[in-house]
Amino acid sequence: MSENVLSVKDLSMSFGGLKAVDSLSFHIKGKEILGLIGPNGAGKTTVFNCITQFYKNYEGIVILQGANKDKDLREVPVHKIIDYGIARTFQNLELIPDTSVMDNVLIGAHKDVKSNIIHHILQFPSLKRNEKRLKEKAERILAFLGIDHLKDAYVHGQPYGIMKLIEIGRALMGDPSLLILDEPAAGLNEKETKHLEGIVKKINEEYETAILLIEHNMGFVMDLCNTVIAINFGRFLAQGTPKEVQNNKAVQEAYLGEAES
Amino acid sequence: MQTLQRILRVLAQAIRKIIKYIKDRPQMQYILLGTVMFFIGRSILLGDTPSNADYFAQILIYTIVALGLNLLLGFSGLVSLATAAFMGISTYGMHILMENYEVNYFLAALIVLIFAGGLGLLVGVLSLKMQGIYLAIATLFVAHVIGELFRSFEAFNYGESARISEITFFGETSLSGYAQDDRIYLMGIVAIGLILAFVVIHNIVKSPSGRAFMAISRSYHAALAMGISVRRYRLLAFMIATIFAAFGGILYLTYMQSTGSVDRNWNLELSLILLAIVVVGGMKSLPGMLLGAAIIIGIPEFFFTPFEEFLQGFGPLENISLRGFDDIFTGLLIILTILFYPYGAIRIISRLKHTVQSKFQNKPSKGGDAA
Repeated sequence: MSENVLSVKDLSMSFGGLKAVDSLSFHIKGKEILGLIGPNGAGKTTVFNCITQFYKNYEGIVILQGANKDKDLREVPVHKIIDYGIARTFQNLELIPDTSVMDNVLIGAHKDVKSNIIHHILQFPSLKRNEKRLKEKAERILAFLGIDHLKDAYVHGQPYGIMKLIEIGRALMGDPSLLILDEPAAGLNEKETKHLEGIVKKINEEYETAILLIEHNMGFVMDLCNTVIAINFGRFLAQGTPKEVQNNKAVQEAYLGEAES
Repeated sequence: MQTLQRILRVLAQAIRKIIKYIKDRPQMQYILLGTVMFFIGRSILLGDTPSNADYFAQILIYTIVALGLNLLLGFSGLVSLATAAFMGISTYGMHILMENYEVNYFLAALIVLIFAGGLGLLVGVLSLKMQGIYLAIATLFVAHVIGELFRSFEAFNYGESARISEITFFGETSLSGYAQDDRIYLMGIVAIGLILAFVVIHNIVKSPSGRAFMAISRSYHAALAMGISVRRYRLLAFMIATIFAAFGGILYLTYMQSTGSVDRNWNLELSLILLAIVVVGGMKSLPGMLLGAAIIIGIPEFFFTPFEEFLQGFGPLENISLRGFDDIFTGLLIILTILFYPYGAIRIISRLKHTVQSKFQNKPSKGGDAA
């Protein structure tokens, strides 16, 4: 494994006195697939929202390790996070239903749109060239995901599994060095989950991105992740290979405890 | 005989090529649409009831304003009830600049448009803090304040309508609303404005900006995560909508040669009518705005009046008046549209087109079998 991409140190976040995340620390290494697991309400999505700066009032520090220097992400506005190579998907689908799959994927390349609205109104020739280039890139990504035949179809009415793939495609348009997937396999059937597993593995290999994912489907996590971190009530429980975490007493208790209630 | 066939074939091919050329260039379609609208307006002006041309010009002008409002409502998911007030600002602004300061028409228009852009930016700031019904109430308040300003100052003729004598272009050609020939030119100016508005909005919504406008309304968090500044695009949407309202106001002043009055023209009712045009015409549809304006403005004006006269022909209905029914008509239309055609009246046309096309596509295959 290569060096760290992202470090989270003593991350805490509370909502009205309730601690959703409690002094959590971990690292993501380059080209690693890191799984974050925990029972419902363990604070996993909150961790993601802190990393991607949707929440700013967290305690602790999130550092992006660059080639030249480190960057404290708190200084970065939420819509500039993608410029630092971090792209994400959402637990609840966040797509534009009433436009084409292609347009949805192109949203992911917004940071590469160098023209402004005046250029668009006057139809600058450079705009056309740029759009063509982005569309070709989007087509490659859609082919990579195996949904290029749907590029002109509306998102509305597509099966859930396809929509999940569109979200991943949109995130890939930003050439991320860290891809954050929030429950990518939730709501998918077995076949779709297997397909997705292959795709996430391929993204990790071909695009050489580090991947951080939350997932409840343990089979998915065990197959894919190099490292798994388990949390409960926002607190660190265990870290290690999938096998080690699975056999960890504290983790088992956390899950069984949830099952009893 | 053969030569005739050959000529016909060449002609058919040429027509097919022209159709393909226009089909590939949506901007050309809008130029065509604007030209057709001009000729309809011209024929009304030259016809038996030239006074109807005022309503026709209004349809075109409201289409322009609705196009801007559509970017706000249909694409960016924001709402404004101050649209009519912005139109009023532009008519009075033009009047003051041209009559009191003798600014040339084009310069005055430019100043008004820039001013409207700045105003849109200010009102847009409201949208950064609130949304939905709260934004509607806030813009309603803005409209009310603007209306009160008109009523309080002499420069705005205390909110009453003020006429301009004539409009001088390039210091030479002057057009007056009283002369029939000049009115045809004025209709031409409105039609050119319509084409301009269609092409500008088309270019915006089919560009990365258009995608960004849709993203901020439909997938707020994803838009942020993908590097779209929601703040920037909300402000832009308000700026563009306000500039379009002001542009509509400029054309209103140009055609009607009057500022219109605050109480009769630039009131809440017009803002609601403009919203109705967007909803009934079809959110996110550009030609739908023309259709919406034609339905909401056209049907009451062009069909209610003859109907009223028809009813008055019967003895007991002598004193009947259908005035006031147009509001009921608009309200009913909105309800029916939302219930049955959530994509607007334009969907009816696209469905018709689809049926006709599928019918025509069947025909040649049958003919092929026979041959």
